[in-house]
Amino acid sequence: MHPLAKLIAVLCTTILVLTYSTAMIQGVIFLVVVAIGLSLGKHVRRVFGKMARYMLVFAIPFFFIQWIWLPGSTPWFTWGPLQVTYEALNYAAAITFRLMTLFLTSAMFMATTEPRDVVLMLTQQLRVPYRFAYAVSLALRFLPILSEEAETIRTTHQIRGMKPPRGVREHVQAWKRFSIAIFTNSVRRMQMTASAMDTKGFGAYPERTYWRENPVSIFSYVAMGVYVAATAICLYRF
Amino acid sequence: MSTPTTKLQRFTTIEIVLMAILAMANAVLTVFLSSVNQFLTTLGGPIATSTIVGIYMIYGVLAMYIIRKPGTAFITFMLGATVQTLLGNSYGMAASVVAALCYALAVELICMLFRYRRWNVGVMMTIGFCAVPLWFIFAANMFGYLKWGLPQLTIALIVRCISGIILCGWLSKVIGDAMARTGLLRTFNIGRDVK
Repeated sequence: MHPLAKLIAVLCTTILVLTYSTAMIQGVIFLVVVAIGLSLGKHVRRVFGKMARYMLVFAIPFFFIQWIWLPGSTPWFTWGPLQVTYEALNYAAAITFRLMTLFLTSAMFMATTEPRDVVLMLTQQLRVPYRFAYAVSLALRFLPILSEEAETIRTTHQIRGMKPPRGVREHVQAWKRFSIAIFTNSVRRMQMTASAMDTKGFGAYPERTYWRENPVSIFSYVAMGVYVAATAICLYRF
Repeated sequence: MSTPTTKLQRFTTIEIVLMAILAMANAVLTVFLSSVNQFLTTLGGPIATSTIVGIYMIYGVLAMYIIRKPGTAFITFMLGATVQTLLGNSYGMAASVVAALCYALAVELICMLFRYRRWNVGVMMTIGFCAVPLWFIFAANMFGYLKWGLPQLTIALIVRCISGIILCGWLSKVIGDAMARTGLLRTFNIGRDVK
């Protein structure tokens, strides 16, 4: 499916989860998203497995904090000054489901989309000037390069006999030395990259040609229509 | 009259590369901060998490402080939101994009008020302060803060504003000046202004 269709799906789900604030509806939306995710294949299921652990660590404390903090009128139980109400339970569950749905839809988009296709979508379908759309792939390309550089700097510091820092002061000093080295290397790399791009004529023309086109297929158009129609019906009916 | 394309041509390649690097750095920082944020949520609920809000905005404000051109904050924040979405974050795509738009709008408005010419510590702190409230309104709707009592909401907003002033406005100025002093930023407007 084209990234634009997936983006529309994420947008429609976002509109739905932001519209409702009852636990029942949010729970249903969450289950639908989970069911769609599980049907998308082994790769997405693996991502879901990783996300599930992360969500439990995040969602359970979030739910209980909301439940305790939120006000309500129908008490469920009272423990000293603490009063826990049904209204708070309903709203806390709704907000927790909402957050998990927002998180999962983004995770599904991420797991099923190549960053290169997102950049193509930005330029070819959403008409973002290519100089800025390209910056997205540039940022993603810099990530492993700079991580590698950070590792090199750390090793260099060790080879030069720098002892592991002890105490807050030494940690701050070590962090400062490390970040200065990272910064100077990043700026040098930035200048080299920009010079190389300028030399190759990057940005010289307002439009550019593409080696690979990524047109929206009929299936993706139909899918987009179905998402929008389903969202409109849900908003109208409920 | 300048067209949108010619306006965007104002940015040099090195400026675009800088924005990309800052967006990438923010995405990495956000992944790290999400666990800190969860710890703070568990520790002190919504008010404790508000203390680190300023760090989330620093990359766009720092880009603006270095490049000093209209549109810098908008482009950097939108790049940051896109990269965050592609790398994954705990709040989802919608929150990343809406937050980026809110921050960008506030930062660009304040810089426009000062005609993109004044960059002292007061202006930077004002930028940090003003970047907070708009996203707070959206976040309150999105994450259910609206149901908290008025005292909690007010305290959270005040803590966020202080965080914005210190961790975004003031810290951007400190980092930007330290970077400019190394002489490596000569090709940017900050380097020319320091001369």
